[in-house]
Amino acid sequence: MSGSAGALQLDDRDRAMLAGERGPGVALAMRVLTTIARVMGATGLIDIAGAHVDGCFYVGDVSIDFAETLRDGGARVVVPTTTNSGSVDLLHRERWRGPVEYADNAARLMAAYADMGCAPTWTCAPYVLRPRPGLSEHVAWGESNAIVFANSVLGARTQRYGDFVEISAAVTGRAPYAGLHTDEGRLGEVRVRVDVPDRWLNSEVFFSLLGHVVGRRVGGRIPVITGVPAATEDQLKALGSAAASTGSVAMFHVVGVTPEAPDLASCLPTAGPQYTVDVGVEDLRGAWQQLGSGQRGDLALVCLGTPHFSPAEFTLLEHALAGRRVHEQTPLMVSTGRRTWADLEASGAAQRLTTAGVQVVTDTCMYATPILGRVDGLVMTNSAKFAWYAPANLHTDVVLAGLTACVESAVAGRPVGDPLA
Amino acid sequence: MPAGRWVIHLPEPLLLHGRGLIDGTARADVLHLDEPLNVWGGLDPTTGTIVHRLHPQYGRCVTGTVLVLPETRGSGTNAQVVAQAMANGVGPAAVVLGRPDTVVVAGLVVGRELYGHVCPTAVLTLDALDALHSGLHVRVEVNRGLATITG
Repeated sequence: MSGSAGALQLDDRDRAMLAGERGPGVALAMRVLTTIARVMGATGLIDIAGAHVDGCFYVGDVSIDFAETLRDGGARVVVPTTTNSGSVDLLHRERWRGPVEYADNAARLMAAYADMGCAPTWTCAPYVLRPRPGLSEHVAWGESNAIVFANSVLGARTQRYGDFVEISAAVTGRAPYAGLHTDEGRLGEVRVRVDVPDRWLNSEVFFSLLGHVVGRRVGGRIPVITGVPAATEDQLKALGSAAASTGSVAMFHVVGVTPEAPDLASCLPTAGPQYTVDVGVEDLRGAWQQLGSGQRGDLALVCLGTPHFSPAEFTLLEHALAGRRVHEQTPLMVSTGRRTWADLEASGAAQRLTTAGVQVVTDTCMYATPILGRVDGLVMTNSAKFAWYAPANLHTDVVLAGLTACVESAVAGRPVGDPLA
Repeated sequence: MPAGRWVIHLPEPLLLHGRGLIDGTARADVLHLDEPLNVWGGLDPTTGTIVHRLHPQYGRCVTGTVLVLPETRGSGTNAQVVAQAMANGVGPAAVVLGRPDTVVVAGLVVGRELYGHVCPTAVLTLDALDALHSGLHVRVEVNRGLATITG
């Protein structure tokens, strides 16, 4: 099996599923999966070790129709499967500001996925949970930021599986052998040379802005990034989520940092990159300008946690608050997975944050669902992904600032500090 | 040019071939997107309108068009939005891509499986995509993996 053009070969198990021997739900899943496999140019399917479902996010009738057709047709997951953010915070239903029917539909959809055996994790950061996929492990993950994290940071192998396809893989246990599942499909395609002063490398928004620029310049290709000497998992998370929003990046290499890029030669084909992109300070400044649809106006709200905050990020948040309270005019809301929040409740950190006025949202995302209500004024965030989507989703102006500036502003009740520090 | 002679250049009829991803036939006006589209957060599935403020074709409507675009970008939920637009009757008549975009195909396949809506889908080279400018009236035919586009 090489993943190049040729008929898709199915084995006896695949054919049996397609023929309905495991029920009409699995047969539907197999029809979807094999169509996608042919588009990917796969010549065969492989077994997967796990899946992450993104389609539990309610869009409309189609969301429920698909999930319930699978479920009622007898489909159940055959590999450990986590779920992405839903459309409603099941632990804080009182936060809901949208139509009741929407929340009920969202909950009904999440229940359908749980009925099929998916773990009710409801987080866009499944890599925060343990166990998580290991080096070279084949999985079928949805959610753009999780896909790029799994490939780039964990060295696991997943294609960019969209909604409908991830659950189809989970109930069949199969995925197309193509693209990022193959060795050659993981080699870099575009050389990205970063050349910025140390002050910028140390900026709290550096990785978000770099990801924004990379996504726009490489589209869906695999970038090989040089000039970035070190990065934490959360910084790589910010880079990937931004690049997966402005582009369709599913994997990146940071030479000397990510597991498949010990040096430049290891992560490029012998023919070299398709082209080279240089990124400097002006590119980062331009990205910041582009993301801020309005840097003026009264600060109404500070939003963090796109993707879901990790335990380490909550530690940074607590440190930045330094025992102070959030100003009543500028709420500070943080999205995270319910497991992370439960761990913080057990450690006492949750209580400290709540006392400081931090409002937490679990199971969903603030920029994606009607939790905020009407926002009168500017929204400040440290997430390039939030800043990219929020203006259209929330009809609001956004400004990107580092975590420290976000916290200082939330405490002061107005924008303070250097957003690019 | 020699005096007294006119040379009339007739436009060549459009004929493009590509890889077929979803079978079907449709005839409609082209809407050409200059940039990839974030469908989720960028296309309203109730109206078929492009709502991403930074997209060059912001405000245009994809309904009933031959939608020509390099690819989608961003969220895997693009697939659900595509399927929902089809279910709402505001989807495109055909889709012509510059890359084999599985997220779009997943949405269109589910639209067909659940509701019977057929949206022929093809992939052309990016150069060929350039020939399909907005307003051109074309016929898209996809059959057994081969796509033919004529104008």
